[in-house]
Formats: sequence, C-alpha cells, structure tokens
Amino acid sequence: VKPVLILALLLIAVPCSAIEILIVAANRVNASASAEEQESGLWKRGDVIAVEDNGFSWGDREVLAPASGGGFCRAILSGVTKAQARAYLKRHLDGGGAMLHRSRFYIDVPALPLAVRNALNNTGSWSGTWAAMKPYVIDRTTGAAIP
Amino acid sequence: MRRLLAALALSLLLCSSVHAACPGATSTVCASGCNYTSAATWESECQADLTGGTGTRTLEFHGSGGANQVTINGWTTNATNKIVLTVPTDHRHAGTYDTNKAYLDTSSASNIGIAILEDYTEVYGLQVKNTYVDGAAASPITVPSAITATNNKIVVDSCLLIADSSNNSAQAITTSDVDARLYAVNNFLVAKTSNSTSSAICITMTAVSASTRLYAYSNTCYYDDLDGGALTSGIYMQGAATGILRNNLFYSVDGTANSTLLNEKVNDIDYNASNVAETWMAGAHDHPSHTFSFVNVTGGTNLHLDAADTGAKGLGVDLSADGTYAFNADIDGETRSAPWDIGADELPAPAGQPFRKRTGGIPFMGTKGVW
Repeated sequence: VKPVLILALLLIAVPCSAIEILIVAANRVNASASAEEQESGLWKRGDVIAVEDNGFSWGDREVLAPASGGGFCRAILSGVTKAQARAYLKRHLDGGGAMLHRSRFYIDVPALPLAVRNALNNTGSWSGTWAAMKPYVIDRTTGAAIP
Repeated sequence: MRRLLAALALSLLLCSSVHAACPGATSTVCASGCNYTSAATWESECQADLTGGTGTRTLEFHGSGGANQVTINGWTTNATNKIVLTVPTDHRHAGTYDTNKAYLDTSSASNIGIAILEDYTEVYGLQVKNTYVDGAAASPITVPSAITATNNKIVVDSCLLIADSSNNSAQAITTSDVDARLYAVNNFLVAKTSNSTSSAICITMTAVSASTRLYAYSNTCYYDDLDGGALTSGIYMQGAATGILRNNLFYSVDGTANSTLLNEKVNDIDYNASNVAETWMAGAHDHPSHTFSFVNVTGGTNLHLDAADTGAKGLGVDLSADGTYAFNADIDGETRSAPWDIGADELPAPAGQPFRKRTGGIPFMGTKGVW
C-alpha cells in the first residue's frame, strides 16, 4: 500500500500543465552581418525559441547546458499551458511586416535571481512557476514585462 | 566571499555574448534522437559567417523538422560556403506526403514553412506542408526581400511542397526580392485553395527586376482554385524578369483557360506541357492541351506518372548537360532515360533498356546527386 500511496502523491505533485520553454542562452554573433541584420536577424540572449510539454525529448544540442558549451537553456514552468506559452513565440515585426527581431518576447536574463541564472547556466534548466517567470518576460513592442 | 565570486563568474557565462557552438558542418533534426528537434533551433545555434573558414553548414532532416517556421537569416554566405537543408536517402519522401519520412509542417504556428533570407541556400528532398488558417497565404517556401548578392542562388530540388489554404491564397514557392535567383528543379508542387476569391499558384515571383531569374526545370505543378479564384497560375512572374522553363508539367484542376502564366518577361520557354490551352506555351516543343495520367491526381495526392501516360512521357529535353543546372535524375533519385519525360517523375525505362538504381553509401543531395 505504501508504494502505491507514494506513487499517487508523486503523480499529484507533478503539475499537469507544466511546459518547457527553450531560451537562447547567448547572443548569436556574426561580425560580417550588417548592423541591421545583426539587430533583426541574429538571435539574442533570452529569446524564446521553442515551447514543448514537460518531459519533451529535446535534441542533444538543445539540452547541453551553457556552462558545457550549449546554446540554450530551459525553463520548466507550471501554471501555464503549452498553447498559452506558444503565444510568446511570435516574431517582432514592424507595421509593414518587416522583421525587427527574431523574437518579440524575451526573458530578461540579467534581471533573473542569481540562483535561477546559475541553475540555467550550470544544469541547462530551472523549474518554477509561470507566475514567478512572468515578471521577466519582456515584450519588445512595449519594452515592459507582459501583464 | 570565494563562493560569491564563483557564483558571479558562473552567472556571467550566461550573460556573455559568445558564439554558440554549432556541432559541426552537418547536424541532424528529428522528433527524437537527433541534435535538434526543430530546424529553427539549429538555425539559431549555427548562425555564422560561413565565408570566414567555417564552410558550408548542412542540416539533415531525419524526421520532423519541428512545428516552428524556419527563418534563415543572420548568416553570411557565398557560392561555395552555403546553407544546405537536405534529407538522407533513407529518410526521403517517395513522392507522396508521408510523416514517417522527413518533413516540415508549420501549419499550427505560421503561414510559412521556410523563409530564406540568405543569398546561397539550398533545399533538397524535403516535404514541406502548410495549411495555416489565417489572413496570410500558405507558403511552404518563401524568399522575402533580403537578397544582397545579385548572383545569388536559391535552390529547391526534389522537394514535395504542399500549400493548402482554406481561407487564403496557396503558393508553394514565393519570392519577393528583386534580385532573387530561384532554381526550382524536380519538385512536386501542390497549390490548393478552397477560398474562391484567393489564388493558387505553384511559383510566384513578385517585385521582380531585370536581374530576377527563375530556372524552373522538370517540376510537376498541380494547382486548384476551385474554379473562381482571382488568380490561378502555374507560374506567376510579375513584371520584367527572366524565366527559363523546361520540362515543366502544369496540371490545372479547373482545366480552364484562365489558368494563365502571367509572363511579361518570361522569355525562354520550351518542352513544357499543360492540360490547358495556354497561349504562352508557344515553344516549338511545348505541349498545351495534353491529357496526363497520374498515379492519383485527386488532391494532388500522387503526381507520379502512371505507366499508361502519353501526355508527358518522352516529350522532354535532356538537361544532363545543361549549362546552368545539369542533372540526370528524377524526384525519386532514379536516373532519367532518353527521351526524358516532362515533369518531376521519370517513368522507368522499358524492359531491355538499362535502368540504374541508386546505390547506398553516398548521400543523395538532390537531383544532381552522385550515382
């Protein structure tokens, strides 16, 4: 009975709506690109690039921690659905449809608590809640955190 | 104090502007067990100046390329250091849409599959499908206005591209750069819209100039606008551009004469065929108003020629020594035999004639593959 109860408690403890957000860990660099292309074409640190269910089978390059030479890190978040989070995968476009940035939304990495940054850097992931992450999700169209 | 400094040093790593380590010249993408699960994340990590010694970067699709639009941008390329998206032989489609093979379907996220903004980018053997429902044309491959080299080269070879829109236009390949030079070879192109006021076009080139080029060789184009669209066309070139069309098979589901190629400056057309009485198809070896036999033409499901076909079989020209883009295989990688068939598919040679099969061990890159 005891193992069954423990398993049941574990299942209850796993948030049903947890998702994983893949974040660009460092600015991409191409010194030969024009200034305009460097701004609009190259991915930037904190850009939200993919959203998948918790436990998604990522590629080996996508889970390699930045401290080990990887280019991404993952925020594993409860309290948000994949559909809700995918709304933040938009490109940043001007009124005419020209791309201003690869991602309209980004995580303000320098503003994250040190413990979160270290977890992202060293292990490649951090688990928390959407409520805790939201204040650091910036909308480039407003320059402010999402409401 | 020492711990605090160590923590600060680690946090700085995440804040630094460093080039992410692309895993090498060739990377893989698929749903599980590859370097990446999305072509978009590969594109992000491998953005670079390829001309400075890095060399060509290749992404091999071994399965799904993810659900997100892939935008190729922020790179520096030239004719010998380019971006290649390809599919190894054992993961390639067999001419019918098959999600057990390599494919890219971004319909849930975007109206575009692959947006190519770099001068030298080549796509081989990939299935790209788009059925996006929103206020924008479904377009599996698009080349927006971002080309910088006038002698650029955008290759789409041996692909199965499906644009299928319920509420907007459907365009299998679109370009809107005045300098775009598109090499579309050996593709099955399917453009369908069920919106009667929208267009269905296999290849659209707008915002063209005198330096715009279209080399359309041996494509099979299926287009269906449900007989009422504002525009339906196999190939649409808006304005003064140069198009070289050889061995293309155009199948208009309407079968009506409004299915026109708008060709203000398409000036080198021959050895093409259509089921419609196209007035622009005036080359000495063009074949308007022909009847074709496909394996399963319904919805553009299987555009291989049926063995009984007489409308395209043996009516093409041999392009194996073409000065611009020589090749000798069909969309399936099978060697063509003289006289070539029109369209992307070559029916097997009759018994008694040599018919070489592709051998293993050599990656098949596309129409120009090594045998």
